[in-house]
Amino acid sequence: MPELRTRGFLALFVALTLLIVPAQVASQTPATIRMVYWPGPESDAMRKVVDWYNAHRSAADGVKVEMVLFSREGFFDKEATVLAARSPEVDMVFTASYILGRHAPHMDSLEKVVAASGEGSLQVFLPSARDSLSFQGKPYAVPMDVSNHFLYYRSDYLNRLLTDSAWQRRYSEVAQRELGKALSPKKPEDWSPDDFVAAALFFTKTINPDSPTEFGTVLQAKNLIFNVMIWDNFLYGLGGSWFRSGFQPALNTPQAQKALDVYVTIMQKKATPAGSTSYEYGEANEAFRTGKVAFMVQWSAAFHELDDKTKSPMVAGNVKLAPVPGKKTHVHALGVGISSYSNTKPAVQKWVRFLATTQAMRMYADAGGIPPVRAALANPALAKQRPEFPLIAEHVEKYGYVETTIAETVPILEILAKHLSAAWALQVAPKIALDQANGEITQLLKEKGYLK
Amino acid sequence: MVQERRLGYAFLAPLTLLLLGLAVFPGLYAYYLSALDASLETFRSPRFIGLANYVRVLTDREFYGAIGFSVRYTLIVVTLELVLGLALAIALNRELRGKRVLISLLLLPLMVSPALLGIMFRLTLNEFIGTVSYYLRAAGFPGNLLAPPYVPYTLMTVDVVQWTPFTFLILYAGLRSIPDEPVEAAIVDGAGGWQILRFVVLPLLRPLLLTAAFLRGIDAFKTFDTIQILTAGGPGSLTTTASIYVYKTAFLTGHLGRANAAVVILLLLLSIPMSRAIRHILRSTP
Repeated sequence: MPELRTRGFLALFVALTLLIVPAQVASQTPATIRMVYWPGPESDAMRKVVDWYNAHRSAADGVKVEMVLFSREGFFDKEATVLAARSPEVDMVFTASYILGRHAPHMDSLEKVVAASGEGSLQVFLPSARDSLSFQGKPYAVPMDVSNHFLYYRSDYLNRLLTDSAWQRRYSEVAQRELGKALSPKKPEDWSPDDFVAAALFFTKTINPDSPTEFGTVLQAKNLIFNVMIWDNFLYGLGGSWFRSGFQPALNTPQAQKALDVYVTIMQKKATPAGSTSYEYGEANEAFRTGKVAFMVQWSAAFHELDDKTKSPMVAGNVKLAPVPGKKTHVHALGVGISSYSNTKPAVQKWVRFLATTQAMRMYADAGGIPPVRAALANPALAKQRPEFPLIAEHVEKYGYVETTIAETVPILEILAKHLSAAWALQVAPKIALDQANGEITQLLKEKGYLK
Repeated sequence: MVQERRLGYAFLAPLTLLLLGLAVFPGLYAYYLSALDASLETFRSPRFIGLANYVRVLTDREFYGAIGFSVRYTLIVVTLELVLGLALAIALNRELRGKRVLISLLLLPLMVSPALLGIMFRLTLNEFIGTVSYYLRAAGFPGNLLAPPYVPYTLMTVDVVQWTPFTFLILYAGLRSIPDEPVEAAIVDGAGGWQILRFVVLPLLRPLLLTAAFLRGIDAFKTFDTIQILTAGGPGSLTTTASIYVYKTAFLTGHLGRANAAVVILLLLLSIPMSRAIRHILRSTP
């Protein structure tokens, strides 16, 4: 009998051990969350933050972050497919301002996830970057990387234009002869779109044989949505925008016509390389890097390589930044948000709150990212290595605008890319291109219920 | 007997399932989607809209522009590839020193993926750092072949560079298999080189020429990668192929239903010439 009792106790002990120990172990094992990212400098920077978090905070928070990289080609299409399938495999969605409208229906708003103010809140981020990842007035993603545009110019040439009286006279002659306008040289920081065109003509050898560069500028005129974002700066800088009130398209306005004329005039006068119609980011950089052009409007990410003596020996040291003429810069952000289909939301929310701190963003910036956080970008130690960072913070704050984040953002960009690229290539008259774009956007927005 | 039949079905089953899963199901699903207002956002709850997608595609000028460009592109590149492939096959159908090395070099473009070839040409045609542009400018030609009006012909040239080795390979194998007797008989009868080619070689190569034209025709019509990399269908819609049109409709403008309607229309449009071509090839194959 005692033997039986002993056996009974033993059995009970074993059963309890089997039941309790795994539960204990499970409660100590951090919940793993899977965050999708695309490969490149952004994921390299994020990797450092993830590694730090997993090493120092994982145990306390009970969260382990795992990064999953999808290839960059067709990234958002793949991610949208995963979301459309309502897959719980992905806990955190990598998104961008221009695609947020499509992702947002599959994501949780961060409104109640992050703190209302201070550290752990979205107040840490610059307002336009925050807006660029908001949908219908609610935040959906933590802005990790911000992109904007600058006027990149050759300071050696532009400084001479401001001091050399012979150049100044020639500049005014060129402006009068080619554009019929009385213009005189100004500092690039004060340029209007008219000054941009006049300077482009002055620095073009076929128009001004004394020009030190073959072309004044280089336009990115390929049929590509990212090239529309660059052109948008002129539209917004001239007082235009995509919409009038209530999503009524405003692409057939005098402002849009004038913004398009900036490109068309430069194309007609051959102040940009002939191949510009097939140019995007990389080609424009090559034109600048090889010393063929005096200035260009380009993405903020280019400065790092154009001012690098090993990568761009012909121009490094003479590359300066100014606001895009018209003083407006398109802003979009890449960010991460919570998938509605995640099974580990409490864990994901902890990670989100960590990301919304200056500490995490400084780490991200140190690792090569461009977080839209003033405290991170204006950090003097970092600014020594990346002198453009404080300017990014300043320009995004002062001149930044977001076109829209509705689900139709990419289709609108696509319509604009199709029609504007035809006008840029001088294949279609500007007015026709704008009217057609306006008509197609109107039809699209009617179909989607934005317009009656 | 019954057991043998069962065994037959068992052997057929994996391939049949594969075909059903990868060809029949997606095909039928495309028809289904084409009648819905489907997008990635409404994928789970799309509305049935009947033939509206078809009407929209058939009234879209850009759709006809894309088909027109694809047809022109296909006719030109397939003709050039056949002519050049045949010329190369004839030129190499003799004893030559280093022939094997030469053939290996000729086949190299085939080994490169079209997207990669697009990137390579984007670099070589760049007017500042591209070697092709450099020599063109030095010779007094326009420096950038990716600008209008040259861009469609540049794209065709890229296709010809990549795929001529394919037609060469088929036709060279065909030439090697032609028996000597008919050629020798023609020589005895006093036929010259051109007459031998015209009346002996080409008729014997006809099935292979048709096969090569058919395969290249299908492939050229659905060209996507190289053009997407080089021009993304632009400027405007100047170089938009049918495939790029479908891709942009589905993934950039987000209309999955409309893109599938375009696919179904393309399938219907192409099914008549395709079935005739297949019948013709089968009939002319011994």
